[in-house]
Amino acid sequence: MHKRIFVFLLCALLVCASVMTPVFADGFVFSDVKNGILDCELQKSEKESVQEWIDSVFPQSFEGVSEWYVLGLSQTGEYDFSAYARALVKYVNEKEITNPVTKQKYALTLLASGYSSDFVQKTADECVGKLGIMSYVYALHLAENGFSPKDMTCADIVDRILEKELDDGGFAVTGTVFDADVTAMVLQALAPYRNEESVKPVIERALERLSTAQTENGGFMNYGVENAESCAQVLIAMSSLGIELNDSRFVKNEATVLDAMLSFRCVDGGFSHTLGTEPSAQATAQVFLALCALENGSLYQLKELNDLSHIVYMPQEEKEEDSVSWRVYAVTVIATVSVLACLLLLIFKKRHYKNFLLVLLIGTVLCLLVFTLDFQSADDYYGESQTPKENVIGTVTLEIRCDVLTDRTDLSHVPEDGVILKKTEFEIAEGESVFDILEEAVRKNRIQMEYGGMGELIYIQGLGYLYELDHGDLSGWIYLVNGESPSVGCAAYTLSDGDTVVWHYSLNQGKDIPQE
Amino acid sequence: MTHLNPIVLFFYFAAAAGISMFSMNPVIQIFSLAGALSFFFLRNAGKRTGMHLPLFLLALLAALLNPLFQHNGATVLFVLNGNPVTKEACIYGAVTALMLLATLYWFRSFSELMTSDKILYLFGRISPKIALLLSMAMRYIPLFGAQLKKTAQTQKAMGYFKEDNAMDRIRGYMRVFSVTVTWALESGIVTADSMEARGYGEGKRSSFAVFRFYRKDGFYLMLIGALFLISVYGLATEAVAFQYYPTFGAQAPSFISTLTYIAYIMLAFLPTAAEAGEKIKWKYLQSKI
Repeated sequence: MHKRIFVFLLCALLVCASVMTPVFADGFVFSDVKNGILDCELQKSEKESVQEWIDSVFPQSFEGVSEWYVLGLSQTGEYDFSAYARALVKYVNEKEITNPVTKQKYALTLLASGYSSDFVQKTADECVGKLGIMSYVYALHLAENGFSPKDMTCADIVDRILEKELDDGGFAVTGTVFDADVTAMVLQALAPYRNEESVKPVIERALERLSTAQTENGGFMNYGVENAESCAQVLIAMSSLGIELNDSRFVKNEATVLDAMLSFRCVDGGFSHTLGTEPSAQATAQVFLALCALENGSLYQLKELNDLSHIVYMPQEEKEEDSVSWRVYAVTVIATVSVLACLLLLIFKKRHYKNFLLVLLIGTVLCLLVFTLDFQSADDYYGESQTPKENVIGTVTLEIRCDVLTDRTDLSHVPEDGVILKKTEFEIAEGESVFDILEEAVRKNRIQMEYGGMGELIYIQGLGYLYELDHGDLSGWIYLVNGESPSVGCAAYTLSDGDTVVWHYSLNQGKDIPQE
Repeated sequence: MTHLNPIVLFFYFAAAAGISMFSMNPVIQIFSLAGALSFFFLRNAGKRTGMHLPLFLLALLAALLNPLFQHNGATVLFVLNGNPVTKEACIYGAVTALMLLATLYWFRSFSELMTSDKILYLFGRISPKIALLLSMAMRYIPLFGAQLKKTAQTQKAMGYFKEDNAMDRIRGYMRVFSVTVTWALESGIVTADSMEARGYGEGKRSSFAVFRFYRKDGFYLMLIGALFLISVYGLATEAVAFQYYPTFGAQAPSFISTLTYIAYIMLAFLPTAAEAGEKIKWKYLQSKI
């Protein structure tokens, strides 16, 4: 039985492929444009090979454009995404992502890279329908790949999507104005159901709407501008529905959507958002995905293309287990050494009970030391991954500046514009002090900090490698809240909603810093 | 070296240890330590072997403490209980430990060579009171050691250490230490009273010394002075300056920096060379007999 299904799928794939072949046989070589994009990206990131690019750049740039590339590059199956997948699982587990669609996109990307974790099912359950039509579109993609939300089937999600159809046959995120990108993405999701009675007319109407929206150059508009991304999404929709490029509905003035999309190509191989502008990373990535779709057919049918049997579950507890294990290891070593010491005492006839007591005492102290020490890697300590705050009472802004030094010194660690941290907004919880926010800011932004004292008497000695007394006997760090210098230490000043905190490096006990 | 005039000896140790203490350049520290160690071991080969381990442990502690309390530096190795431990702070700590070790060994040799009569000779002319004070203070160091031994032996005789175990021994040594410190404080007061009773400080003090300033002393003084001046010039012009924070940065090697290094290396190994020369001469003269 399974064999038959397999053979059937293989045939379907072959038919699909043979249908697609003539489309890109006439005079145009996809791989040139695709490789052009890859070459351009490799050059930008100074990497040797695509694999190296995946392993080193992708894990650093979530929320960027790497998700599109993973979807596209995973189609061929020749790249290894294990490093990326691991980094992604770590990232989504540690960071509280609030946007449900973003979460779903990560889940889908993780599946595309050939891995899974409990995050995927959780996202499928939690995020469906949370943010309008796009959260249904991504939920359907996930459900198609075996991760249906609780109490919902694929058919349910399809029904919900159909309900959102606009009067003119298009789709939009909000309001009633047709949006080419959203319509195209809905079509991509509905593609597997194109032969069902209820879906077929909707798809036809949406295609008609897209056809009327196509410009005379063959392209599509979004927010009133003809752009590469919209073309790319429509092309992906067409390829997943099996519509040929030269379908009469999508040719305007002998220009196909592909022609329109390629008109955005720049000299360096990348693509620009609108005609005649600088290359845009977002546009380039989506065009790359469209080209992959044209070569391979449907993008979101991950099951056929990716072997998910090697699913790796990476539970959240992994990190804690890790930190426990070194302690267990250390305690084992201490215990072994203690036992050895006791044996030596026995052998050398130092058998007074107080000798053994001393060994026990030293062992216990060392064990206690082991449990009070907490090692973290620099990446765990710095960065965005901090626990979200409870009872947030508002936001404050924080800025760290050293303007007084910009003209006086050319030290490499003094920024030229005098800004160590540009004005940044932070959420504050009840009772948080200036120091709490400063600590959060330096951790998030990898700024070096050194302080002395504890409790309410904390005193900032250095920020961004700039220390007190570095530039004269009266130099050091001072802070202003709403333009005034408070007369208490930074850990004793409790912030309230809307406060502006600025840290200044002063050469003269704050007298050279203008106050309001 | 021992036969040189105390002025030359004092000037030499002040120069060698002083430059090492006022520079944080790793090259200078390494050669300072090498010079101090080679001179000390040349004079004390096989003797006083027990004193080295505590010194090296102290240096190791100093090297470890710096990165725990200093969080400057761009390369964060790991974060310990919320405190970043940086590579730069570790290296700074290591160089500080080298400096500490070098200075300790210079002073070991110094206290060996500069006996109290030499100190009296040096400071006696400037201020006889300070000279007396210094020689008495320096006398207390070996005196304290001897008293420690005495107290321990007395306590042993009293039966304090009869149970053979580490815990009681540690407590015993702590008791001995406390007893000896009390003795030292009391003895200081007693000494002062006793000296006053004998009429010290009544009249003007004079001093007498048997040291003369020979031509050889002049030669050594000039050599040490020249090397010292070159080194100080190198330090003052920052040709051998070394930056640790936030990232390492050394001045590009220049003529002055090379000259400074060579001068300091010669300065650091001067006593070793002199001592080795004397030893060879001694062997040579012996073989003639």
